[in-house]
Amino acid sequence: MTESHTLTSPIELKGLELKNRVVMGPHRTNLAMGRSSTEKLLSYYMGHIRGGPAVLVTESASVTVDDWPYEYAPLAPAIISGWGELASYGKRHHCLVVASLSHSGLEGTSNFSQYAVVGPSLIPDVDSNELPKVASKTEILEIVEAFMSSARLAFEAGVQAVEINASHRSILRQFLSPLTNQRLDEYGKDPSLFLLQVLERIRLELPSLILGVRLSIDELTPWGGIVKEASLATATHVKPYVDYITATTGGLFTKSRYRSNFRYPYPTHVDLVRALKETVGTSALVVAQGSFFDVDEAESALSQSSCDLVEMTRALIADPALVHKVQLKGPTSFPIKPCVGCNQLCNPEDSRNIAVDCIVNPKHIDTTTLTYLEPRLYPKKLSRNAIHKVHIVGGGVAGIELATLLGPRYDEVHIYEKERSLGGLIALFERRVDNSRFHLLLTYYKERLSGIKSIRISLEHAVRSKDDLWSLEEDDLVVLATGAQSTPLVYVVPPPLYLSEHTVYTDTASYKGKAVAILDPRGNTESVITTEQIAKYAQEVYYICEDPAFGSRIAQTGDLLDSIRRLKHLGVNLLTFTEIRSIDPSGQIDLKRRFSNENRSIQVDLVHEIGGRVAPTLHPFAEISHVRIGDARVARTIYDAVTDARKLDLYLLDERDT
Amino acid sequence: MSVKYPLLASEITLGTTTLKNRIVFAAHLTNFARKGVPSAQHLAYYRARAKGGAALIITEELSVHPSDWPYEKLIHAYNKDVRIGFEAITEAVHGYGAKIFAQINHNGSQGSSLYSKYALLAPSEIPDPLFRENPIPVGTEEIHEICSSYGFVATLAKESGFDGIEIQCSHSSIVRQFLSPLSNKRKDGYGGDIQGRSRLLFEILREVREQVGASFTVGIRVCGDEMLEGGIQIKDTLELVKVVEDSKLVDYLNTSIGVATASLYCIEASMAIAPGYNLYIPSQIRAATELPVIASGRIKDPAQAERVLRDGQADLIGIVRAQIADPNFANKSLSDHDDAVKLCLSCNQECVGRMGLNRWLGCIESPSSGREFLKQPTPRPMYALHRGIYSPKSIIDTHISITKSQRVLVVGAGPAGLQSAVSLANKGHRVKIFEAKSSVGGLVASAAKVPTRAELGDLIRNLTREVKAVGTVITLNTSLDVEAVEELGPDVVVVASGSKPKLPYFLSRFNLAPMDNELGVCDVVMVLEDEASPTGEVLVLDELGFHQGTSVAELLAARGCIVTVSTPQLYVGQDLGVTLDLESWNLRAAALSIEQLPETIVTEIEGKTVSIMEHITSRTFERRFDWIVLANHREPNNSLADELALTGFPSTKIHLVGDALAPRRIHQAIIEAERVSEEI
Repeated sequence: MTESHTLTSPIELKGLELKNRVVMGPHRTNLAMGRSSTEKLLSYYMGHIRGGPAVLVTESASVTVDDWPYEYAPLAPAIISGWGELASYGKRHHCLVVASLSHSGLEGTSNFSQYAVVGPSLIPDVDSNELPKVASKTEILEIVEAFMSSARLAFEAGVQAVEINASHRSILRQFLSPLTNQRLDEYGKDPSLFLLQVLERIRLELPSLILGVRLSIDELTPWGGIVKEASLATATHVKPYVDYITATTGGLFTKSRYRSNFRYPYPTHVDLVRALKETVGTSALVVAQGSFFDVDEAESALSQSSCDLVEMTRALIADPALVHKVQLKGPTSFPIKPCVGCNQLCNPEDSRNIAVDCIVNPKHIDTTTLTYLEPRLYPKKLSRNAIHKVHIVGGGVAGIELATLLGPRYDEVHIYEKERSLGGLIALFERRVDNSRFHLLLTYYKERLSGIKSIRISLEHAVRSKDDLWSLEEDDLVVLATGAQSTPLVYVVPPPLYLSEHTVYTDTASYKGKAVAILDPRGNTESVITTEQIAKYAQEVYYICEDPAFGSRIAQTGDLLDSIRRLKHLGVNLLTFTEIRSIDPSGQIDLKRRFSNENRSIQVDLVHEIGGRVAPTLHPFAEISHVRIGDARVARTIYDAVTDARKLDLYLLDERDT
Repeated sequence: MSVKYPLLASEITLGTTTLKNRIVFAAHLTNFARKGVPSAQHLAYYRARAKGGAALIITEELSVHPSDWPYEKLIHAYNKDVRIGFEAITEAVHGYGAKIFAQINHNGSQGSSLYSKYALLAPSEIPDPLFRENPIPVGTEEIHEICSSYGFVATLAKESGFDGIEIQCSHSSIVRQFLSPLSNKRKDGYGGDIQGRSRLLFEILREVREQVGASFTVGIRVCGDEMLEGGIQIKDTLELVKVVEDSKLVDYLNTSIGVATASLYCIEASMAIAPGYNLYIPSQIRAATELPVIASGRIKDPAQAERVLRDGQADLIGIVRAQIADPNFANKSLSDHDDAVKLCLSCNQECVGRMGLNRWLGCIESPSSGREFLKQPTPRPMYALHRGIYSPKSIIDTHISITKSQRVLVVGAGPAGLQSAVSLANKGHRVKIFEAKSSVGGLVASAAKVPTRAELGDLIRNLTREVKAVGTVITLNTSLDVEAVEELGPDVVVVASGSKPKLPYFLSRFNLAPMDNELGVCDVVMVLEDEASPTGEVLVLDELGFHQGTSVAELLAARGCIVTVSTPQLYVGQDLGVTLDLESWNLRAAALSIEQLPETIVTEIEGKTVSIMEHITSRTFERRFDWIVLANHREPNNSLADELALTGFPSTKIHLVGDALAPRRIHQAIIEAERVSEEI
């Protein structure tokens, strides 16, 4: 196989020409309701269809009513008409819409259906710990029929293609895996029997349907899960029935490796995909999935003929116009906004039902409440139509995101940054994090800003008064995006002991070989990053939180157990469920285990508080600024900084339109 | 008129609202709202409690402002779309002679920007310990906007037929955040002493009074004790109460304890904490004011309530969980039929426990609670009768019930068996229950033997009474085999025979009477049923993370064992937090010197030596124990079903329920049992 492909070259799938090699994969959106499609869900997908991928696989829909894995999980019979609508929209844009069909089995929940979950054997899901009932043969055949009838409904609704999920949260994978299938009957002897029955049934009944299967080819638990040899055998069995196979990873104990975060080398399993491709030959296409964050990685997988198509779901969530931008070719003023692989908002697998989102590309901003909600943010004195020039004080992510939005619309947009480079807090920490992708975000901003003529960047330019701004005029918009000040916020720390965030990242010598206490009232991604950074240099690190366990807010990122492992290997003393009674200027900290009388004292040289940042209260410049955004407004996250910029942009646009 | 509870049955007037008795269905979250408006689920739920005899219903919090959206299913009362729902609810409640107040609130920093996409508002820039977002300290402009939004919603409530409003100043509220020195560090006129910190409250009250007038009933819910160091204490509240009374802006005082985030476990205490634990708050407040005072907090039977009134600790009783479990609590109690009340267990599993999980409010023992709006309240997918495919036809099927009286044999008298018998008998079937053991209640009866879990036993008390009421006979000490079933000749068999213990791979047998050099091995059920009596150093292996392991650890430690709990989970009792039991269990565990080994698994056992591995780091160490007590998953005990099917008994006439289907929690057993009656 020497033939070389590119991301934008077409390929044939069962007689249908796909315009390129990019696939938007199935993912939980929390945008369905009543198990059916909503306007929001369809418009989310239509936006992605317009962005140019050749294939869009819908959010997985349950094939039976008693499979209800999360509140807004689609149910195939209820949502198919929506998918039909989407399919015809896809046709107009030459995008193949594939309906994903699934049954979560033991990885579901009885919370919504109020029926017992069902699984191959008496083995519970590691997260829910809910024991399933063991599927009887009758029940298995009922599920086979349900897959079949759902596929038929899809076909009749005008959906050309169906994908059967035998990967993430799927009963078919649970049957394939020795971790979950300990049956003694024919479904135990032949673990692929259930899957084959489903595929065969659909194939025979609907020969003209494009049929794909989503297969976990490695559960990454070599001591008991699906391994390479077994999945290649499965592929041999299924290839007569399917038109394509999507290769994924992860299983019962490794759900987070289905969509690994940036800490894992990406793409995660190209070699395995190549082996799969060799096994399948030309009888079916192979789609690679798994952390294809960048176009380059996708191109190289294709050019090495490891696969025929590439799933770039998170990259497309971060930048829905990715394919169009690739087609522009060469250096342009429209760089791709990169996925940073943080998994913070695009993977909303918890009970809060937050709609799918992205920290670098916030979605779902309700424009009707822009002014109503924050009267102070948009003072009435601001005359939006008169603005020609914008001054943005601060070149952190809030400021530069705003510049990229306003730049094309105004005559002059100035960014003033007191440091030597743009990027604010991100620039401060990103190089300290292994495998971090945040520098790509900064590269994106630099390229984007350099492509906008109206933008003027003044580095090492601190703004102390309005005289420091370039020719401030009456109607200019002045935006304060100076970020926050590093200071303890929740705990009272004697000032000489305080190790500021800036020092943590810029002056490692100041705490090298010392004993440092890290106080964590947050339990988020920052807790992980900063604790690791300090632990790399300090002699002794005490991590102290009131939560019963480390990282109470990071489960979604897939880094929870990994981060605990890393911190323990770094020798961090994890003092969880611990209250701080007092911090003495001498460095003695009195601690108490929560809900007990167990007390202890530790002696440290320095103290850092995670997330210890406050917005500047008295900025010498505050009275002439119109708007504060990002941490200068109130210290929050990257997502909030970008959202603030977007909202201000929409607010200004709103006036112009009306 | 009640002979037993005359005070509870007596009238009282709050402001201009006269109540027929003293039973209040106080404000609590339900997660019933859809898209920010009250739903049919709310309507049916409140109507059932009004019909059941409660004198006053106070709604769940109605949010006054779009900057406030802490959880998904909040009612956005600033939006006029809510009015139709409010009107329907107030009309329905009034139809039964009950009154209804609207609780109105802004959660301030105890919120999230994830739904609203806007920064939180609060007195000072201090993150809440649960939500952890830095809020924006509100300026004068925002304070005015918040005050007028309270006025707007109060007006809307008045126009929608409510009899009064209650302003939330406790639990989770921007008003409490202003009142508490912990969250209010302002230097302006809204901070400092109690006068400054209560300024927002009085500005809201004056605005509300201006909008609704003097003749509309207005109350406040005050926090008596935040249970946090440096926070509001009862003496602060007494001071506030005096000023509130003098202002003549308020008609009654509702009381509370704890903060909805940092000390939530105090607000809705579980069965592990004694009833009346917080009565020191209403009683002191009542002594300091002429205003009527409402007490609440785990008052679950009418005798307790009557005593609180008789002792002068309060004027009215907020009874929430007991009325969730039994909507007819008030009528049954006040007609002296309180023996018929389906007593609340204070288990917190399906009411409190679901709120943080964004699920609809329910009840462990009453599947219809929270689902009164459905024609078939028993849990079933809303789409179809049977598993399989959705079709319009199956919706119609759901509501057709053709019942021919059947002879039903229920095997097992645990919660699943007892509940099956009650629901089947209520449908006119002729039911017999057979139980192998000498007593009813199954595992629940065993679990209730731990003193802090005793009230779980009320489930069995309730079910036994209901079984008696429907006239079903329970035959004890009788284990049924296939022949015995055939002899009885039932049309339908419900297999509710529970579960049996299971050994992990590293153990080959149970050892209930170990020799000196042997390790004793049993599971938690064997301890509870006195089949095993561990002594010395005991290792409780907890892979469940719920009460099974922790309660038995506590029991054994109290009996003098030296107890260690090992769990593969990140901390011991990972699921106890949901029912608000984690804090109190840790307190007791510390007092009993129970050792905790989280993130560990047992890899090997050699004699009394146990190899334990921290699975995150793979660090292994050895310890010696005298006993191992397993708190692990069990397996279904349902061979009777298979054997019956082999004899040709139609498999559609054999129903597996509860642990016999798959060992899980009580609620699953109850709903499956309830559903059996509809599947026959």
